[in-house]
Amino acid sequence: MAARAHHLGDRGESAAEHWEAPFGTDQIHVAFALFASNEIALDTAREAAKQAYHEIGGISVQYHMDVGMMPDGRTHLGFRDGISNPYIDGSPFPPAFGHEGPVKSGEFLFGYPNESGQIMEGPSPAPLGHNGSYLSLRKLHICAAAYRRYVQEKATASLSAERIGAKMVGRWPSGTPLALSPEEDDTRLSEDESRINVFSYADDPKGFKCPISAHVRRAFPRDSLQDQVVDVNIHRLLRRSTVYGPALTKGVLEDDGHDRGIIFAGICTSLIRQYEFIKTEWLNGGNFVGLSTEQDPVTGNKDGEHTFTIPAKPLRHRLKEVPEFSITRGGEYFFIPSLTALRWLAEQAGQGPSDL
Amino acid sequence: MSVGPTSHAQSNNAPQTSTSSEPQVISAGRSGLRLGQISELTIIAPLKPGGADRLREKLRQSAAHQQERMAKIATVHDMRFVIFDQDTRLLFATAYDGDWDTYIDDFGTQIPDLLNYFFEDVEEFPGIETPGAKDFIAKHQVTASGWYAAYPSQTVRDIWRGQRVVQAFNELIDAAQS
Repeated sequence: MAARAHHLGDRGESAAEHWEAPFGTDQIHVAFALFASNEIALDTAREAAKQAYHEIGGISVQYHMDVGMMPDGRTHLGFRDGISNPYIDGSPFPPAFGHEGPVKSGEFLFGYPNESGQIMEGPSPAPLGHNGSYLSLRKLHICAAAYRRYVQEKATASLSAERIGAKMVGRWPSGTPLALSPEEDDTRLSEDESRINVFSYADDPKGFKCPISAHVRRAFPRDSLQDQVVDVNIHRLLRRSTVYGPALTKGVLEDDGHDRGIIFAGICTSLIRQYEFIKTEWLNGGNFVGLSTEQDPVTGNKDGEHTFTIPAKPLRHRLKEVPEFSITRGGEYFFIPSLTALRWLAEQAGQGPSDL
Repeated sequence: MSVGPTSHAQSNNAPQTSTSSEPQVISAGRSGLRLGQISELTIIAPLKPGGADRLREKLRQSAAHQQERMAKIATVHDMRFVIFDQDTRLLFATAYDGDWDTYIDDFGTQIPDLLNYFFEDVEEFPGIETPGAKDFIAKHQVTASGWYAAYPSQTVRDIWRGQRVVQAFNELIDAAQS
């Protein structure tokens, strides 16, 4: 990913030359992620992994991170994350409630037709690539204190700090979408899984409810790009992001020096058409919605105008000098093999599949 | 390389630039040159027998609605179809926003009929929606040796918005003075 960093907008403090080792070096060969629903299950899995690791030669841990959702389920900016994900055609699970139809499985899995009708192929040979995916992994330091200071400094009688934050994200901290509740948070919506993600932008083309420049509207435009030739379905991403680092104490406005942020994880079969397109076309600039070089307020860097436009009547608000809230500490692209590919790999080495 | 004006005269209303802030000509991606926001694409390809006449007729018939059709693409500053070499070859040249291949997949799923209509008279054109489309374009594309654009930081959408703003501003001033 270091070779793509400049293209992805990782400049200044986020540039690849500043990345935390081993990110940006050629020392990352394999990544291993353990997820569990509670600490006990995680410890059990961790012990099993340690055991296997000690039995294998020729591999050494270069980097280790403890990650996990915070108790309140929010990110370090105080917002609920990960509400929206594509519904994959052919999935055995019922769809989460959302406004859009299923997306072809080939957008996320190698060996199946994608939205263009083409079968995406991963690494060859076929037993290795089939049912696998690509992963974009990024460690993003989140400047929680800078965010809190900024929304407070910019608050006015008519635009509260919380409202400014909601306008930048496109949802209230609880997850209630501005598109459904533009004036205030509404827990009847955020606590109802059948409503929190069911909405359209079709009745809000100018962004008076949810700004055109808001993060969730940029990252997944839904039906808001009807006036241009673009196929939103070929630019979807399956997210499995998580959080790291201790929370900044509530109310604190100065950085405490702790590293905290998001581990962004986006899964797809075409890194260029899916992850990189979203980042370069929809987050790192505003031309696709006639906003010139305005960037996503949450992920933007110091290039471009660093303003944030809030459409309003009679006149729009433009927040100026939006700071960087996200600094890239490192990232990498990975191939995620399927279970059958893992067994095939193990067989190639002459070891049996053991207890996979 | 960069070919451009060497004087800094402002009498022609050109925006002020200093040498350090002038954008540099870079690659537009797989092929072509890019200056600021604007890239060039030049394709030279053989036409099928009878293709020149068919294409000329198509272009003549579609001229009236070209603005409307292109408004949705909104990234093409200009484009020209030049039939030459005794009707055997087509030169297609365009200035457009962004990098070389960013939206080709979108064209392929959203407007394949429109694009194929204008390029199907080119020999071996595979169809914009096919996997071979990008390779076909790259095969026939010739990267320019010099590229200049008068407003390199302005995209098509920026220009259109600027036009609306100037018009609205003039109306406002007129109304205030009446």
